[in-house]
Amino acid sequence: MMRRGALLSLGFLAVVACNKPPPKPAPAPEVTSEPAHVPPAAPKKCDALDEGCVAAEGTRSPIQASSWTLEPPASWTYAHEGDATVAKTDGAIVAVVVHETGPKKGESANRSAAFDSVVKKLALTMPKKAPWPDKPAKVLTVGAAKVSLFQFDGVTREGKPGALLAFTSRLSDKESLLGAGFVLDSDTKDADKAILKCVQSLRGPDPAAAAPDAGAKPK
Amino acid sequence: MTAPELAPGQIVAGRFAIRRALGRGELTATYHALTMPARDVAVKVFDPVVRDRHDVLDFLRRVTIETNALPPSVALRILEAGDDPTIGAPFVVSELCVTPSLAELVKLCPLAGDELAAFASNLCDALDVAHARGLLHLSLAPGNVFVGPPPTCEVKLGDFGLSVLTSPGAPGAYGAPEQLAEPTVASDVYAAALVILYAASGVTLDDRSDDALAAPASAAASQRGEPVDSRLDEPLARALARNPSARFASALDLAEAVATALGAPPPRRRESARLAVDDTAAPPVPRIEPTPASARYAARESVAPPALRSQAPPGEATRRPPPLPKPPSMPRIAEPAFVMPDAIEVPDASPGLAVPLARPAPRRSLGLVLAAAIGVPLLTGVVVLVAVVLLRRPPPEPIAVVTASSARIASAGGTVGATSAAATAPTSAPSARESGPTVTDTATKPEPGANGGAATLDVVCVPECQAIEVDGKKVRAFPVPVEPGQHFVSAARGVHPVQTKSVTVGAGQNEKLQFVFYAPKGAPDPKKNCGKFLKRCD
Repeated sequence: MMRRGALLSLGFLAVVACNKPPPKPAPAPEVTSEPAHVPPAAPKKCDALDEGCVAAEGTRSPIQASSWTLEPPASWTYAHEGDATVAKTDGAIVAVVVHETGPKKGESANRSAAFDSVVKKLALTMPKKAPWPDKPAKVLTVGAAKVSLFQFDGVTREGKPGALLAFTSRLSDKESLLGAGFVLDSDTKDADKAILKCVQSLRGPDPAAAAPDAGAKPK
Repeated sequence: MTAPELAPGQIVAGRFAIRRALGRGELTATYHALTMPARDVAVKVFDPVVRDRHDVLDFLRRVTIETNALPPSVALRILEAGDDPTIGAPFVVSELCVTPSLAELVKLCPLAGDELAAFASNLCDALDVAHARGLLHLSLAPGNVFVGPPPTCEVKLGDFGLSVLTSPGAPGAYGAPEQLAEPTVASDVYAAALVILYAASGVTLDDRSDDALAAPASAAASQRGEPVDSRLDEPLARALARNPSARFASALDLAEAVATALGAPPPRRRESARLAVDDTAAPPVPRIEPTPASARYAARESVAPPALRSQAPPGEATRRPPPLPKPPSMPRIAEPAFVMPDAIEVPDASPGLAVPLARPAPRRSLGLVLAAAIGVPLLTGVVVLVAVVLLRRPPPEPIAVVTASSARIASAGGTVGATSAAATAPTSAPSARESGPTVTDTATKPEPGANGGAATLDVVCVPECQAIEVDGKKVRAFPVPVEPGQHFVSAARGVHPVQTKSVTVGAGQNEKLQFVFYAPKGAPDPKKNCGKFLKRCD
């Protein structure tokens, strides 16, 4: 008897609950005269790796103050810092600088100085005997520029061995380009391939823009 | 009766030391023997009943002379023959072929693609060279076709004319139906087509009825579970036509049709005509000095065996030697007994001295005779000196164990052993292919019974294998469950040497084996330093 009574009371309660009127709608928010202003996110300057700018397909980054640009590898974090344009990912990093070409006799000294600064920036440790080769291992033609490629093996970064690709190009009598890309030997994501693609993406100033009177008739 | 059984160490003809049996046929037994100076040879011993067959012995002797007149790249050389009273049977000594026979190759895996086209081209080319010299094979079978390594797949033929020792009334598994009565070039074309089909599938067409031959060869092979490229149907159908005149006019025509069907480059044509008239084209055969056993038998008249004379099919008379009169039927063992011969043959190993009929005897100048009179004793002295020096050295272990007489693998069974010539002795010894570069790799495995589960074995080939055997059983799909313990895995691909590995699989373990035959096209060279940037291999 007790169980039947309990069941009846539960059923009654359920019916009552089901016939409960719908709750009143919540009061509409008060409309203020001036809507809240959400400032749009400021575009990243991407002048420091800490900003975490991630390159997408077609992203171009200037190289220091020069009119040259490059395309950082897609999905890599990049920044055009004051002293170099840098892009990095797990196990690979690349930096490109523009330095003074200098006089012919001092050209190699300038290049060595620039290379040392890049190596220092990338925190690389070069092997003890790593002289700069007399001839490049390969010469790429990128647009109107000839880019010389040099490869150094036995380079380490944070104690991990890898390969270093240095590339140089004489942009003009005044300035030259130098870059270095490092990939760990253990890399399996073809980061070295991405760096080579990055080198081939170098673009100089637009000839039309650089020479506004290019279409003018010669005097 | 059968051929006498010889024990290892037994001496035949006074100087051929039997090492082991290579195979045994209906009326023959083939042995691997060693002779001085440290030379491996194949000794084929006939059933003593053959001694009573004067005509058969004459026939074989003439075939021997004709065979030795062929270029050495085409046919195995017969070095000596005779009748040894100590064993009471005739014998033939031939060179030992270092390359495996087609039967041995196909037992492992059939040929395909370019290898098949190259093989067909070389087989037909060898036949064509023999035909150009007026010699028919009539005993073509996978067991007496020896195949060289790819990609050239050179072909060497053995057992010319041994179909004479087959059972009466049967042309053999690869013989043309008309070859008992009227053998022609078309008979060898017929046999070549069957051998090519065998090379492509491992299938022998046992049923030679019109209905069976009307069906595509690929269908017949597929019924046996061995797929064959259907592009071969058309050339094979023509070559297997019942009417000899409907077949290809020459073996090379068959090769051309096969190459065209497979999309391979056309076969190279030797200057068969030049070979046919130029006896000096063949280099001198390394002669083994005659023994008393063989020297007792004087050379009989050199009458070219009519049954082996090639006759071109109608319409091909311009390309072929002039047809001879209709040859008599080939002699059969079952026919009435003949007079006991007192000799079989003393085949002169030198083609220059072998003067078969229908070939004019070369004129020899007086100077040549004088040079020979002086040179031969000098040469003999040098040979004896070298022999004495070499006799002091122990003979090296032979590396080639393919019988010069052809054969099948005793354990092969099935279609592999269905050779046409019963005289073709089966071979039970390991071949050069089988004994070739064998990789033995015993992998160290975890302790058996680690978890008590069933073990599996996975085998990968680079490039893909055509036949993989685990403990002697063919396996088509991997991984395959195996009992824990040691297993032997062999993998074969094309005409590459078979690789064998032994592996110990622990309980519950999945063991993986890899066989690498060669680097596939386009793959990085493993020896190349594959690094980053400019040292990438791709």
